Amino acid sequence: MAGSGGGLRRVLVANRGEIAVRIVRACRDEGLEAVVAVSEADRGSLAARLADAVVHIGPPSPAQSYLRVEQIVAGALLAGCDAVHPGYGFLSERAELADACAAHGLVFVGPSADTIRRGGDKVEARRLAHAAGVPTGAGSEAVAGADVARAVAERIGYPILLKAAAGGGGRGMVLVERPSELAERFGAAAREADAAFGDGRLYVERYVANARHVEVQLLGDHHGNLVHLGDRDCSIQRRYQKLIEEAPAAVLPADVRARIAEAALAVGRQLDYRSAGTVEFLVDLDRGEFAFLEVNTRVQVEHPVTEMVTGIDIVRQQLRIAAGLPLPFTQADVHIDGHAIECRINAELVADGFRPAPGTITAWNPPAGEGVRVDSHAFTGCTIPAYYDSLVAKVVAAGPDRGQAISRMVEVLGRLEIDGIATTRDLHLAVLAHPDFATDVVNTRWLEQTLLPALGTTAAANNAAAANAAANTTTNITTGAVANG
Amino acid sequence: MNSGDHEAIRRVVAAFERSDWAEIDVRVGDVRVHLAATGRGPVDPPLGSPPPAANAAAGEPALAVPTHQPPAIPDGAHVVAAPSPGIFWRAPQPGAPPFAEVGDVVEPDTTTCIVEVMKLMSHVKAGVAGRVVAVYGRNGEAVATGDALFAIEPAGA
Repeated sequence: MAGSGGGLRRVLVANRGEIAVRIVRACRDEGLEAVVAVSEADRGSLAARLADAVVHIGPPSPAQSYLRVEQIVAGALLAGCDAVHPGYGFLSERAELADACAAHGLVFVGPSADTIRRGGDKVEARRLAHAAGVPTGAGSEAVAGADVARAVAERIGYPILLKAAAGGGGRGMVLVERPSELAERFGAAAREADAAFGDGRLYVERYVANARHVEVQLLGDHHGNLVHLGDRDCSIQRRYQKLIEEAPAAVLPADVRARIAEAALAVGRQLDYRSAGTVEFLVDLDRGEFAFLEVNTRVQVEHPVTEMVTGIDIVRQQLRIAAGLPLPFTQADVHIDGHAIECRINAELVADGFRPAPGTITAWNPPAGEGVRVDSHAFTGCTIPAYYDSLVAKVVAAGPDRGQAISRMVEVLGRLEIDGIATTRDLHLAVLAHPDFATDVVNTRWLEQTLLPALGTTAAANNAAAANAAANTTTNITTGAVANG
Repeated sequence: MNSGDHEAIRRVVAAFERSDWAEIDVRVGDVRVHLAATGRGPVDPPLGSPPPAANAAAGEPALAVPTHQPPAIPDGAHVVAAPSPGIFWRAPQPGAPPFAEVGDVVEPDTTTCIVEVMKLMSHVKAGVAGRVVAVYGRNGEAVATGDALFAIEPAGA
């Protein structure tokens, strides 16, 4: 295949950072021209340097640039593009962008606006999963008020999570451990959801204490084909944000793996899914059950681990599907070979409560070699701006099995040179060296409950928080788009 | 400019005319298109944003980088400065009233604004008791460490 055919010629990359670089490369591989949209802060970015052209879309603040549908669409038209790839975060799960692309004759590289709407509304997605016969876990539809939430909580038992219908990606969740907390937390959660997402609806889910986060990668085309590319485990998290992801999810017994894949396909069929997407599940280790969590109607941050074990280029497939081409393989052609791990290297000072650490990289020397992949927008002299997320690099290591993948990652991270900014690299090394990680007995709370206290980081974080409280207070309520996977 | 540019500009103008966009301002190379429509105000205009210009221009220089001239600080005023680089938010959420307006009386621990750094929201306190006499930061715009955001006339001064 020389190109993506279907008439696509020139793609606007409506994103920044490492994913913009990733999409430019996929365009090249498909014989497509790539134009990168840049804010003033990203004029000198690696993606801008690699692109065939650059379109300037506004000031550094995402609200004035990457989050403006009209700027993206006008930029695509001015740059002579015929398609828009939204990446992840920012506008990637906003149906308005898909609608605007359609209205102005541009191909949106993603699922239909209808799929984005139905998949993105967490209450609707839960209903849809239930209709497809997929377990949704104990919980509710949208609840009208704290009293209804209380009745649900009494039925399913505490602790519970209050989740924003418009949330997702780890945002808009509040833990309620006992009845006395419910009324106040409900009010606060509804206000926060309204502020962050313009939608204050909440629903209730049972809080699973000993849980693994497992997700299934889907690819669907316009010709009725829908396949899964296996599963990933993303249980190493902090504040619901993923730090380490693996493919496959080694913890799953074969029968559960098959059932989860079938469940993901069922959800995909309900959504008439036609692009790359992910269905997320919570695996309850104590009950031996899994439950549907949410659908992400875009490429995920952690897609490289799946690419490493399947040999399938997910971003190229997104472009080909958008161009109207059929998937060049069937489910029977998809094989999982070996094991891959991704570490998200963030510009954060771990010892100071993961304080954001923007700045200039004075030396950058990524490792390379067999079974190694580094997705990054970094280069010596580049700036990691304060205006966007803290992701600097995704380091991926693969091996014939999980143990060898871990060994390779340890070796690779040791060779990763990033000077000038604080990063989370050493935290990753601490995870990789821990016997709980080696034996794969972690859960989604393990990093915060076991590893960080052992490292003494909680104390440091608390001290930092106390210092902050004296001067300025810090919260992690997010209003914009977060580049979560 | 070549004929391809003219065609691209025509596409942008046509898209603007059939949309309900209030304003667009995009540039490729030395071709810039800035269009604004009166009466299509943004749904949620940024506080303190400049009035939209109404022109369609090509061949203009780069989009203006905000030039932060150090503001003139009133004598004896306490300056609330940005603690880090980030994005300056005057209100806790879109559409909400600002944390602090000129004339407001504040205490040392009164939140004056949020500076968002890599998605983390830092509440910036007044630091002194007094009255807000100037607001320098513009909502939603990037700020650098040390940029003056507010001036406060200390109580009893």
